[in-house]
Amino acid sequence: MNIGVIVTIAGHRHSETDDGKGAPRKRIENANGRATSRLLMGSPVGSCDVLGQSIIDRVVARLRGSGAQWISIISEGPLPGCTASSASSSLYRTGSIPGFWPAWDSVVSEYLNQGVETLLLVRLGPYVELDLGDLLRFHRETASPLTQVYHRHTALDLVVVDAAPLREGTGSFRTRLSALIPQRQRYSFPGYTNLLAQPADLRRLVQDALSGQCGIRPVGREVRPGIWYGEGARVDRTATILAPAFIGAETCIEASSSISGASAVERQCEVDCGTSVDDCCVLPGTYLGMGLNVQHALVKGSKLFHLNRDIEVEISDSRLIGTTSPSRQLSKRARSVLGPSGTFGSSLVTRSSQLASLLTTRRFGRSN
Amino acid sequence: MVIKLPEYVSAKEARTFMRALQPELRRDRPRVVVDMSAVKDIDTAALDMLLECMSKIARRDGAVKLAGISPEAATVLELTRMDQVFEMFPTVSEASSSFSVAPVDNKLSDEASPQPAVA
Repeated sequence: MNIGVIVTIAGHRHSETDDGKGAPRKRIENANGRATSRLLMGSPVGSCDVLGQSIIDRVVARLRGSGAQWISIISEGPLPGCTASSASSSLYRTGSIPGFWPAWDSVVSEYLNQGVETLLLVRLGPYVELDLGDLLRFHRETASPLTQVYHRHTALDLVVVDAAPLREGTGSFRTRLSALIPQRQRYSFPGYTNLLAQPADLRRLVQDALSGQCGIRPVGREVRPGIWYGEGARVDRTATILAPAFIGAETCIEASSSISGASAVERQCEVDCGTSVDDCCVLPGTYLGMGLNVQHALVKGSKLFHLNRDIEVEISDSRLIGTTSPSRQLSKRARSVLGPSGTFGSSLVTRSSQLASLLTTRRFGRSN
Repeated sequence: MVIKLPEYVSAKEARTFMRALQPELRRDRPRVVVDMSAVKDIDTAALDMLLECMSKIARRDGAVKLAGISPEAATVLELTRMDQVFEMFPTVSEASSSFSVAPVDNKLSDEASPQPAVA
């Protein structure tokens, strides 16, 4: 399959003039005039983990599985939550090229020089379980230079374009691409699609994945029907985990806590003693303090998005919610290595017992 | 007495709140409405202060009610399970009027039961 793929991680919408050449230009991604930012709690939605793997990594793996060999990833903005695996999966880095469009043009140029015949442009955004083979067959049969994928009546940021008109035209590749838009054909995709336009959409994606309604599978082992643990996840024996649920790699679920309502607690999180998590996505590296009641929410570090109230709250008190500090993660890792019989492990168990005892007597400490 | 909490409530604001509350605490059956309509962020020290306030007022047979709770404050109260501890009202006026309704309820219960109310 001689196809070059460019996956754009949507974030802060890059400036229309970020190539420094003046007036804004029409962009194919704006075809249906949708929202101009794809940030979820400060991070591009494509970099968010879903059941142990980021959306971008899942999309790239799916494309590779469909036979695509040339895959480049370009980000519209900084990737604060980008994992090392995301970076390593890209064949092309944009670090040396300032601005989005110069980077994009550079990748297209590289593909054309390598003799690529067809380009697939994907912007995340939406999560689409695309049948790439069927899309390419449709594209060839319609003989259109450009095919855009639609889900129901919504145009997705997913386009197949012939390399030939890009190779032959004049001006920047972006200009040549824009010139093809009037000739585009619509490919209606009936399969699983999640626009990931709202925080609630991410929550729905996790629920769909846990209930087997989409192709996403949790990264980890299924310890009981509907309950998955990532590598190194540690769940106290007094904690309650109700299926379906996902506990990410190196995540700690402490004593007397509970996870329910199709919740996912992603990697390197800590749910402290006595806290209940219901109908939630807890994103990587999040600490949930003792005795809390976290429900109908997405939590990432100190930010909590309440799905029912449709509001994002930043909580400054790290005793409630916050990030798992590197020292805390180190302690947890040491504990898992040494085990409860080790000296270090024993002292931590004692500390845990003290915390649990504290919880029953008084929930909150003083900060004077 | 109605006390309006500021946008950000931490230990410092909690101490100010407790100072403002002192006169009310000297009265018999103090009635306090905490207006939380402006609150955007509230930390554990402030929540602890609310619990302490409730405890002191309860000892004098009074009550603390929360009113006009902003979505941000409601989220933190739910998160910390404090929503199960306090009586909450949509507005300050509803919280205030609930105090005047309370004696009627007591009277009704007195009528229903021949036993004298415990002081």
